[in-house]
Amino acid sequence: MSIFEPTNNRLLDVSDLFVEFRTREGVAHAINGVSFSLDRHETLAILGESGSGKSVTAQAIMGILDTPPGYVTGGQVEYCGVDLLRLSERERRRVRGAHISMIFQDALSSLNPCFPVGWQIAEMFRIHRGLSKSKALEASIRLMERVNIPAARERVKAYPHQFSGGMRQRIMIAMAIALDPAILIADEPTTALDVTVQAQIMDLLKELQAESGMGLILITHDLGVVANVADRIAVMYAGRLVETAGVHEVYADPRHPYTIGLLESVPRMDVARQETLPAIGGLPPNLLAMPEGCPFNPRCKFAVDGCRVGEPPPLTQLASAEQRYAACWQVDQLTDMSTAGGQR
Amino acid sequence: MTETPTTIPAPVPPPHPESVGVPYPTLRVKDTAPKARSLWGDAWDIMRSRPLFWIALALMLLFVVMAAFPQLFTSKDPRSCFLINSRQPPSWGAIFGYDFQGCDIYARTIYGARASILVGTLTATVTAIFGSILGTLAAYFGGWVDMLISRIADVFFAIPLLLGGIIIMYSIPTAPDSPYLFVVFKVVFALSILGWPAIFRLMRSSVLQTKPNDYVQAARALGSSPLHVVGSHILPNSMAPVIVVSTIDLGGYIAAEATLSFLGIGLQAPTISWGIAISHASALGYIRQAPHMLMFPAAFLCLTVLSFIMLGEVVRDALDPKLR
Amino acid sequence: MGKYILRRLLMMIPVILGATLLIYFLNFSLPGDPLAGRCGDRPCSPAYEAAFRAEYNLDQPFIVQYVRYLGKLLHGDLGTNFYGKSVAHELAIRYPTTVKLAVIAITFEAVVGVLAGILAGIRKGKFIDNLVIVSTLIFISIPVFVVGGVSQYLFGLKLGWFPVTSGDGSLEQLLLPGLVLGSLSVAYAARLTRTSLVENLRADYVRTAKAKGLSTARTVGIHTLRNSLLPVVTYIGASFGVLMGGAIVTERIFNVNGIGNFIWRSISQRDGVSVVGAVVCLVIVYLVVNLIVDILYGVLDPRISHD
Repeated sequence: MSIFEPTNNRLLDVSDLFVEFRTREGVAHAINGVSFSLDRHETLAILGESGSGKSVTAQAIMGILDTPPGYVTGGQVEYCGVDLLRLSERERRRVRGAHISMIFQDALSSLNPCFPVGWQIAEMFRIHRGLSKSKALEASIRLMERVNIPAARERVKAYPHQFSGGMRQRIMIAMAIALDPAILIADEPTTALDVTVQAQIMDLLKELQAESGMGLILITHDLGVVANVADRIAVMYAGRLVETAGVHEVYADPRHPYTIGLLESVPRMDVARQETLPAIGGLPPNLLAMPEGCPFNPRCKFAVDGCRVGEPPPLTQLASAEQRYAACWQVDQLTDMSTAGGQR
Repeated sequence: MTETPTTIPAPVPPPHPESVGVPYPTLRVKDTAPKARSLWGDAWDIMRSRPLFWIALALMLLFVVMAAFPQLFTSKDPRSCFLINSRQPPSWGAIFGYDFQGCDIYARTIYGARASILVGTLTATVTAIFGSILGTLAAYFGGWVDMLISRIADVFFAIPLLLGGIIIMYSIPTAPDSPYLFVVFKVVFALSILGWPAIFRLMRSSVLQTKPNDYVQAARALGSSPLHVVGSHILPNSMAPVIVVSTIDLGGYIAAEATLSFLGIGLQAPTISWGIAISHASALGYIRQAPHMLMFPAAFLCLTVLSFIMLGEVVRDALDPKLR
Repeated sequence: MGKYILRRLLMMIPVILGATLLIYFLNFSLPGDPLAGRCGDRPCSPAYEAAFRAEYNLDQPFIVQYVRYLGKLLHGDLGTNFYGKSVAHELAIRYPTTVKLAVIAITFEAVVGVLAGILAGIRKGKFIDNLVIVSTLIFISIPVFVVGGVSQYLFGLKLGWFPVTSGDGSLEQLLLPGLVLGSLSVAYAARLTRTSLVENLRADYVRTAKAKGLSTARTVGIHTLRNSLLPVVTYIGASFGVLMGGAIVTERIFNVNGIGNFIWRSISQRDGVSVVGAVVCLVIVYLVVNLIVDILYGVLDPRISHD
């Protein structure tokens, strides 16, 4: 365990990550040079539509990509200064679950239907810590209480299908935080839940984070969820990061046409009611046949001829702000145009 | 879920667990304008690239032609037998050798195809038609109709094919001089009586999946008659699994007929059939002295069964991209 | 759990009633002489015919006939053949051999079939997977009586690995017939295990197991296998029907002195009472076995037993 002592606040450093899927139809470039980092206590939201590569990024960090067809073809995933991609499978297994853990969207299908929930939580202690059956079960009861499952002692032997959706997600969370991981990746944790339950789950995650100081990576397509919990936002499109910034900056002043489109498509209370909600036209690009130039250009209302040829724009630091990055050729012209667009 | 960017599953409910081979259509998004392709068109593209498909199809056609026109394959009369040739091993004159009664095994094997193919295709057709009609009725009307037919099917389903076949074959007496077709129909009847519930269950679940689709609801809302809705909207979209399973079952029925004949309860001599030939050849003394009597009809029987099962499986795999 | 068992039992009653009714109808009420083929090649003697009609109440209305027949079945009375022997007694002497044969076949099916299926499933698309797919396809296509004849010739006569026939039904003599009997079901069991495993390996909870840092062995062996084997349990129950049909063939080929051979000999002696009596007995055994398997399934699958 000693090699994973954080030397400073930096927990995770992903740099230049590439992932591809080798399918019958061809090679799909799912992740194309993604870089970001995560500190202790920090919540990073990765935002994007389905197919943008946000879940694949999470799976690559965890090392649970389905191989084949998925392959990590480049980059580093440094956890406390150690590149996880260079570790052996056995060493990686020790990181998985214990240091970096993950929860998923659909808790019902993500929990094994054939084993009691207590058993599934206890497995973490038994495999990673070598605890005895009874001790591990005691520990799972405490965990279930910690994630506010009522009557935990009585329900520890119950099966997943006997719980409600929100309770099941709490069990997933209990399992994920069992060994006090430094990083928790939550892949659309609230998408399958009712709105009221969504808020409870997000509150629970925030609470647990405050207690332990873990870093939280929140993968979502829901801008509403992000606004309340995230510290920083990374917007993904077609396997690339197109914008990263603090949460307030993104909401107040988006600097990529895609982010602008996303924000425009959210219903807002503070803006006069519009007839129709603007949506981003077109479809996400086919990863097997990426458009030339900037991958967003076919759907971009700001695109100029320069956007349709050559390499995609790199993620570059904005001149105006230190902690802000965007990948757009037109980034300097954008501010005026988007204000103009917003006042339509 | 891994994000597989190339295919988007069409919004249909997942297949019913009982029906293993229900196709699960996918809509492929191409970079060019998506071509409209039917389920079968898609499947055809996949099938035609697989050698197994062509092998199975060729074998199947070969046996069907053999059943229809045995004269094309041999000029010998399978019924002209000379005891002097009894149990002669294969030679240039008779490439499969002679059986106990001195009949040419090649000729008898060729002529034996007819009984097998006839029983197999008739039974598969009868069960497919009968099972599909009842399955559609049960699923379309639901309620007590469904309840009644389903419970009756349960009863028939509960009786194992061979055991039930023995009882039925025994209960309808056959006189020694009964015409050939009468005996064939008797076997078909026995196997169909016991075989239809499988198709019924498949069709019922298949129609239940198709029924809630918008185009069916739209047709009903527009006042189409039930017959028209079923005929033009439900059947074309529910028949695929039935066709696949019927093809696979056809092989099974051929095996079942041969087994009944082997036990001396199906077709009987002087009818020429593979089951009877194998039954005669299986006596221990013959296996010891003249294994060729067993091997040739057995090989033909197995190849026939194999060709139908293989064909059905290739079609099923092509229709069901999920399993690839 | 108790509720589940009770429900299965209640659902079983109409099926058993229906199946016996169907068999009875086919047996006694189809047009034609109900005594045809029950006394060998000769017509039945008037004395036997009278006794037969009285025994099965053939002069009573159909429903009375059926109810009395059912009563006989409940008492274990399967009829008396024209040699004056009780069919139930004939079966009682022979069943231990057939049970042994069935146990060999089911063990073969459950062990070899499931193992082959698991190997193929975890190596999907690899050589071993294709090998299992192709070899099972071939086994499915070969009727049991061909497998029996060929393996008797090959392993019994040519290679001499096994006794050619089974005289007294010792385990050694029953081994080859047992394997032959299981050959068809072993292929289906392997394919079903493979399909089920492949499907389950794609399930979300397998991804969770990986994310928990479990080894592949534990992910497959503990988290996936249990779910994957549930349908196989059901199949093994259903395969019992195929096995009993196959036992008639296998016991005839290897001359095993069990129920199957009794049925075959009764067929060739045109002893209809024995044939039908024995087969009805097998059908009922099959129904009961499937009821037990259904209940077992409920025990194994928490989603059912805790509803």
